[in-house]
Amino acid sequence: MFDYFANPTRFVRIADRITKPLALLTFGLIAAGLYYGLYASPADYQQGETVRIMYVHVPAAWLASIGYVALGLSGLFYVVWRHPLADLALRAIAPVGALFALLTLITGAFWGKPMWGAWWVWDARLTSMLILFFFYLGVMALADGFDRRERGSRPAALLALVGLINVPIVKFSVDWWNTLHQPASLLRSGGVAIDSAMLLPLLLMLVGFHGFFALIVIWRIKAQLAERRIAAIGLKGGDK
Amino acid sequence: MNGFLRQIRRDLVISWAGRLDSAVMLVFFVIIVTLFPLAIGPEASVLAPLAIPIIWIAALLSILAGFERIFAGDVRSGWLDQVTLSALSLPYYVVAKAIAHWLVTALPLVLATPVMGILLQIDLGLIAGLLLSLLLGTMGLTLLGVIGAGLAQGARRGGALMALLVLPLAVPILIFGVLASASATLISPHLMLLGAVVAILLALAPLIGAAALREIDEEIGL
Amino acid sequence: MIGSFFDMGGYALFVWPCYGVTAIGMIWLGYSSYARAKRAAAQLKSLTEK
Repeated sequence: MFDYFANPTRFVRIADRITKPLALLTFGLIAAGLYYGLYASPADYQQGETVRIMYVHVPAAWLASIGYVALGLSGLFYVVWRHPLADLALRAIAPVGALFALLTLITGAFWGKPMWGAWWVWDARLTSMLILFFFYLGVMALADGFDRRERGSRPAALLALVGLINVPIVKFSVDWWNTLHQPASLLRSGGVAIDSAMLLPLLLMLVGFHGFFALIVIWRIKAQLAERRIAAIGLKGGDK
Repeated sequence: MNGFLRQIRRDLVISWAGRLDSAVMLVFFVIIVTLFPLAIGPEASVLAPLAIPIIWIAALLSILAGFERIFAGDVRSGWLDQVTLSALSLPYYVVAKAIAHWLVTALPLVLATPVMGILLQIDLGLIAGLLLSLLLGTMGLTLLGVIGAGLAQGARRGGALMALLVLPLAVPILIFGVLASASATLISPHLMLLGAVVAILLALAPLIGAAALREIDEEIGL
Repeated sequence: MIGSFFDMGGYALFVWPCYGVTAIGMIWLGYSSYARAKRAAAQLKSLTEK
């Protein structure tokens, strides 16, 4: 399946065809999600209106997490199978994943203040997300850290691969650390009972965010493909 | 095997010739440790519980500071090109570099730890556990180092970038290492988890480091 | 009714910044990615159509 997309021209052709419908779908899903999330759904009996933060916090956290898996897989495709678009995908995914990780942290803090009374708590999942955010930054810094741009592709791909193995270990260690340092868990982490009326906006936003993710990655890969060809033309001695 | 041991010996000889640089790293470790009481205050009841984390962080930072030097010399002098042409395969070369680097950078640090502990008013009964876990932990950090150094070799902000890359990945070593150092039993579950992480790194680092170094080899200049 | 919507049960200062930051972040990334792709495509077009 991925071989099918390996041809850049074909990728661009397919991307051009699906971009508009994808954008419309994404916009529609998020708009519907906002309507239900902010207006047409009940408040939580315990958390009140702050539960509405969940409708952005959870999708962001989810996408930051699978984004890093996508990053690792791109790295794998680049290093092992030398897929021609894999390093472009890597460079496209990293900023989106980083954004979602940052949004998770920020919305998590705003959710934490009314819930737990503190802007920041060293909750296992927030701490893991913070480290994941640093990891995203590392991949981005490495990919663009060399004078010759393509030189960074392989190290970044390798780092993404290392992350695929190491980030679960990090999450495990942070979980371990957190449970040991917090004997009396006053923090009911993730303990929101999902009312079916709340499930709808959550799912709408979740799928909508996926669409956004795909859209951004497609745009960024297209941009890189064009920039590569522009650079190649420049090397061949400018315009004809 | 011959080439492997000769690579280690070569690095040890070179490091001995530049032993002042290695001494600087040790002094760096000592200075970082002494900064903490200066910032926190001399009160033993405050310092003692922080002694283990402080030593771990100081060790982590000192080892991080040395990453840039792992491959730089060999790349600059063209030795890396020689190695790729030789019978010594790159993953073994990476392991040899890690061993030599650990002996030169981490071992002196670990040997200095008891004195550092005393400076930080540590509970003396904890020193044995601290030493054992630091031995293991510094091996893990060195393996992370060859990964980071290999990946960022030739990057614009090489040294800083190497540290940036390694820090998120060093979190498990720090967490398990500190817990293992402070635990009641010498061989604790935390120590075993630390050992597991180091074992995984031992399997991973030579392959990743070698893959990264091959990229450099294919470059004409950096 | 509208007032209570913006008030968010007293949690307005927490809920709205969340949505605000999320919107700003996603719109900014979306726009810059789209603009970059458009710019590159236009530049490529002008170079190859000479």
